[in-house]
Amino acid sequence: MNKLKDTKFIIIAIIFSLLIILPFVPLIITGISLNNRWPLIFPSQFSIRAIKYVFYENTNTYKAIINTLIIGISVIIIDLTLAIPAAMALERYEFKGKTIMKMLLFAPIIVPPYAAIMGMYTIFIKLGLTESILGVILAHILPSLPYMIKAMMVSFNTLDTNLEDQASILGATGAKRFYYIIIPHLLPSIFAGASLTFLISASQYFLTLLVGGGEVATLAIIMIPFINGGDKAIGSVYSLIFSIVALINILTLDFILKVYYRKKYFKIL
Amino acid sequence: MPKLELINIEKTFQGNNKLNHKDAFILSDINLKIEDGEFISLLGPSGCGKTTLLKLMTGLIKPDKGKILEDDKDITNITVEKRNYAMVAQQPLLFPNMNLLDNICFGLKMKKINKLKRIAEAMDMIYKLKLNGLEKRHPSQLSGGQCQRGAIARALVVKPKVLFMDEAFNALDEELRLEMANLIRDYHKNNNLTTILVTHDKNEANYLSDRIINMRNSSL
Repeated sequence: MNKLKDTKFIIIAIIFSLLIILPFVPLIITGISLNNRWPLIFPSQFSIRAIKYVFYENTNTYKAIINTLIIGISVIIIDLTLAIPAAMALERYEFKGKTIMKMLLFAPIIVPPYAAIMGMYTIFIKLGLTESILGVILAHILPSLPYMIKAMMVSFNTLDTNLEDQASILGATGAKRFYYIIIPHLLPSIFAGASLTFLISASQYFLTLLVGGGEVATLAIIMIPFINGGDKAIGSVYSLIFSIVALINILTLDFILKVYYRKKYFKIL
Repeated sequence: MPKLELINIEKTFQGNNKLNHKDAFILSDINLKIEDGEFISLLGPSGCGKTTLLKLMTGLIKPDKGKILEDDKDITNITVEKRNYAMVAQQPLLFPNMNLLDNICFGLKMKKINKLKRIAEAMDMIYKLKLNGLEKRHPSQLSGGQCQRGAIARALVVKPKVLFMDEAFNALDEELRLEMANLIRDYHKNNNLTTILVTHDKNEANYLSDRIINMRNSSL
């Protein structure tokens, strides 16, 4: 019986692994091929021209990776700072205009953020935020914030307020309750929200192009023109870099989460 | 230990339907004097406002009207974390992210007691409540009875001025219930600890308390 279960598990694991790995196979093949065109699946000639261009000839690549990381991490931090109190208020308190507030916060899921950013663009120009990383960071908050708020709301919904009451009777002030009781409970949602936020931010092409004015190079900015007909081989290499950066981000967050759970953060001693 | 006094306490909770006042829950005209070191039980059916009254006394909720005095000093507006009280609820409410020892040390840490003293006092309480050997376990790895004993240890270790218990023995089996009741009674006697127990069990109230206060329809 156990053997049968193990075999089933292995088969399912292999299927899922293939589903994850398979999309990368054509990217790798296209990345190392020379003039490979549809309907040919396997290229007739191989070349490292695209890899050479991406890593040695185009100096913007490294800058784009660093910018993507800086923007992504900044958006995560700002989103968290805004989402935690917003989710707490929406889940725990009744107040006038709560439905309207909810609709406003979740509007970017339904209304394209481009519509909002067009209006904000004139303010960004007045404040000198265009063609700057700060402007791009602020623009990326629009499409990512609703997902972070939703993730936090799920956690607040399952947090027993009696635990906080117990902590306050034992002498914990608001800040200590937040650190010792709320944050540990929110951690899985923070991890999920942060991963999603990073991916949303890293994938933004139009918002980054509009606000950054071509001056702020991110992976999406330099990758998409190549995919849209420029050079498929270079586009494939950039796509692979994009996936690796996203994967490193998820693995780093996972690592931090595990260390946080294991180490002294919850130790009272 | 202090004496507590509730003077003309009033608290209203609005029901879901704001236009229908029948939905509202009202505690009104509550006057109660609890002597220094007294063990009192608040007895009454479910929904009569016992827990609300307990929360008003602890400072977890503020009254709409009236005053709460501790040794004749008005503490109505003093925040709960500054009062040095402790509470054991029906559910143990141990913090799930901390092990048993960290849970018991929590109140001492909040009072900025140094590490060595914290461990010594917590271990002493762990031995008294026969929880030794379980210090490193998380609440999910403890039985219901062990969790409740952990909650009692966490409350007593801070040497509270007043101990509040909200149906604290309800989740325990008969044998453990008696054992815990005896432990609380002895601790109360030995330390002259002002103790307030909310229960709907007459026998428990008779066994433990110096005085029983009946609560009916949101009044004493």
